[in-house]
Amino acid sequence: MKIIQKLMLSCHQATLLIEKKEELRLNIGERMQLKMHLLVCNACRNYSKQSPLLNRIFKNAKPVKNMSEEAKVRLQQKLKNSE
Amino acid sequence: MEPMTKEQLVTTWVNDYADYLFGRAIAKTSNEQLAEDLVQDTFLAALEAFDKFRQESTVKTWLTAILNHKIADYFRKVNSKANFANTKSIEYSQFFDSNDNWKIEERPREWLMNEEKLFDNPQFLHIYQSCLQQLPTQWSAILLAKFIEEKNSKKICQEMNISTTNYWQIIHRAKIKMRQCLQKNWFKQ
Repeated sequence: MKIIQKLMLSCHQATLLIEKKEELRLNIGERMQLKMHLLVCNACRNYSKQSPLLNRIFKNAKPVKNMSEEAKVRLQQKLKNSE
Repeated sequence: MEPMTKEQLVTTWVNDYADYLFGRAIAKTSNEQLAEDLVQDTFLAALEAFDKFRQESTVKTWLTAILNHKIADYFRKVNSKANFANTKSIEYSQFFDSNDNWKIEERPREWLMNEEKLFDNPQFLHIYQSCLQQLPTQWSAILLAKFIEEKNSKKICQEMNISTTNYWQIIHRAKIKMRQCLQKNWFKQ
């Protein structure tokens, strides 16, 4: 049983490798373990598709926002009051 | 006509530059309240240092430089404490069971969507923004440094004064949390 536990990654470990894989080169053991885990784990397969999508979202989703008018007025008051 | 006092002049700068500076502050912190505070501090500092402004650069450049200092100061302060206390709120145990596998209710489900339409959709951007604000500020700062500024892990670890292990823990947990937040609130799975 212990050997099998050592062979099979947990989902926690698998998702961490999915993240590291992007930036670092996994060693061959890690690559094989991850492949095996993804073969049997649907949830982590979905995660492995969603992780690069999230990266694209971080990069491209730019909520355009202006400072609220109220905050600007407050600021101008503060500046005037320091006269 | 009376010449403007420096207070009056700096007040007009708010109209001209506050949105621009605010946009830059949000891009670096993704926290609206924090961005407001940083912009306010910038203008107050500009007023104080007004006499030193030698018109060698434009007003915009000068204010931006002050803002960048304020942002750097903030992160230095945030990183100097052992600031992992507030990250306890997003623990791995929320997502994984005692075998370290996904809890049933946390399992990533399949997302059906049109990716192209996503980035222009204001509703999505709003939800994305509120998900991002749920992360500890240090975490979102690291995500932004990695994905928007495209800094590598070595540089980020140096600037944020964290170890490589911490870096990966943060990236890992932040992405797990963001994924969950978007699955729950946008993809409604």
